[in-house]
Amino acid sequence: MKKLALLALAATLAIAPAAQAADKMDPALKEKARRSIDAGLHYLRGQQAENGSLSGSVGITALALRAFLESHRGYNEADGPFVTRPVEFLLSKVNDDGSISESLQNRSYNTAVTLVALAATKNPKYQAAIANGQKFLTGHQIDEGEGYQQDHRYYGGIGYGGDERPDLSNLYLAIEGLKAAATDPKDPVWQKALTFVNRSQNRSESNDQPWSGNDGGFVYMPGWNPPEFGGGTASYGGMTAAGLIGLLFAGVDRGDPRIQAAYKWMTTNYTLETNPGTDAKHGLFYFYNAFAKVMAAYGDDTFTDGKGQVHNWRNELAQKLISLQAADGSWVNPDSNKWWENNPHLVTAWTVIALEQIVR
Amino acid sequence: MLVLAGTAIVVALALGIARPDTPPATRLLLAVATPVLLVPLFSGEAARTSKALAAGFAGWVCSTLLLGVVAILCGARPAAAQLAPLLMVALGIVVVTRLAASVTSRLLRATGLDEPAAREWARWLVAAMLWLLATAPLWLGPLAALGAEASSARSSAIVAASPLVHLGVAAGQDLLRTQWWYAHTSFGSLQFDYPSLAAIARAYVAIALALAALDFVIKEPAR
Repeated sequence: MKKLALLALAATLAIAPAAQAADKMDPALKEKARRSIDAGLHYLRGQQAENGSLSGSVGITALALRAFLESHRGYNEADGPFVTRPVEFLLSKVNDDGSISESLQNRSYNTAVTLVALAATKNPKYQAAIANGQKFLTGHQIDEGEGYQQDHRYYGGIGYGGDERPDLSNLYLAIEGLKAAATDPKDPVWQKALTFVNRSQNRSESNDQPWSGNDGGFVYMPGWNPPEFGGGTASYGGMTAAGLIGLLFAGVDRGDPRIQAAYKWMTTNYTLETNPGTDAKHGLFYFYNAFAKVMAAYGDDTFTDGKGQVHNWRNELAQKLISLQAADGSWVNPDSNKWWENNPHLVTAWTVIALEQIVR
Repeated sequence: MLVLAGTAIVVALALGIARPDTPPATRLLLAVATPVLLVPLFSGEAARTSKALAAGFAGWVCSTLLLGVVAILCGARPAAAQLAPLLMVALGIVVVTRLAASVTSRLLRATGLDEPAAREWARWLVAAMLWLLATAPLWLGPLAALGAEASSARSSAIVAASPLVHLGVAAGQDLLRTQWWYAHTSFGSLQFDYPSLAAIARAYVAIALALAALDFVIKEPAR
């Protein structure tokens, strides 16, 4: 009996470090991921226009700036024009209504990602621009001010900006921007946002819409998915990651059944080959970016998929992203031009941010 | 005038101006765009008599006003800063279509058609052209999305051809990302730029001047 107990103890001691090791990121891979980030940042730096912009777009410039500021290199404005010029470009696009955008399109998207980038500079000089952008986003949220009542499926949502058609993708980015801008947790914007997030989840216990299913995943907007994913109301990966971030950043507890249901959907349907839940590669890099951010925020290094296989998401996503990097350090989606994924500036910025979440 | 107003109301209702789900900004756009797109069909009178011109413009103004009231009653909240450019672009489209109808009618008469037949053909041709251009993002969408290397310049050119987009830009609206256009065209997920309001204004002035010059130059056949 004593021998048996000793054997069990020895076995436990032998297994414990192995299990712990499985949870951690492979150090060699972590180093490769850091080199991949460096190559991506080098590419982005080389692509900057004279005014620091990328593709002439506020949104892409802000995402790339965030990629620099959040890198393991710890870049900041003291490092030179490759950081200060994009900041100046973004500030030059501040509009009277508080939005930060070069065009009519994507005003809330651009403002939201710029808030995250400006907040990442940690420079108090930009506080006014951040506060005004915050006001624009909260003012742009669909509520009674736009003539919508709480029972309307659009209520609490935020769209690209200017079209009044909200969706979960833009709302999650707005939530990320509002969180970066240190919006008061008691501000009604969060509860209104949660109304829309709840109505985008296939979970009838928390979704009052008649179409709601019960698999726990998320759709693009209440009752509708884009034609690229066949319309309908089937859950898919990009939106489930977005919905989870929305819930977590809006202050919902990790143990909440909405989060547990969404996490279960995401881990059960886990794949890095397509946008999970679909057989399409549309929005694949958007998914990688949102997946990395939500997994980092959720906090678990490993999970078990629907087939019972254990995955270390950091190792697997890092390997996948490194394998997709072009020789010049950039990334692009070769299989789809939807949502600008044929634009290497955008996709590289997204992917570098994803890798930064992985190696953090 | 009354027929244009009645038709515009029926069409705008069919397009959803009073539907509960229609966003307020879309209601406003429908109120302005519907009469503009119908005006050529109701321009059967000789475009160059002042009475016919006045009747045509009065019909357009009345229809727009009526639909504007409907839109406001349904929840649209037009801002003054938004209305001025929107109505200016609408006026530009109406002027250009009137001139285009006149020039087309003259050209058709030059081919031997009698005056009533030429006017009838001209209004239908101009109306069809206007509708084709207005809906260009819909039927040229597949061309814009062609291949992984879709060009944003090609997409922008298609978008810039549409008078509906011009009205959307004037209203400060991201038209192609509103629910209907997002669901039925590929532009919601493609990279493109809208033309600027200044570029749109310049284009309408240039086209109107060119058409007016043609209208002046093309000789009426002897009666």
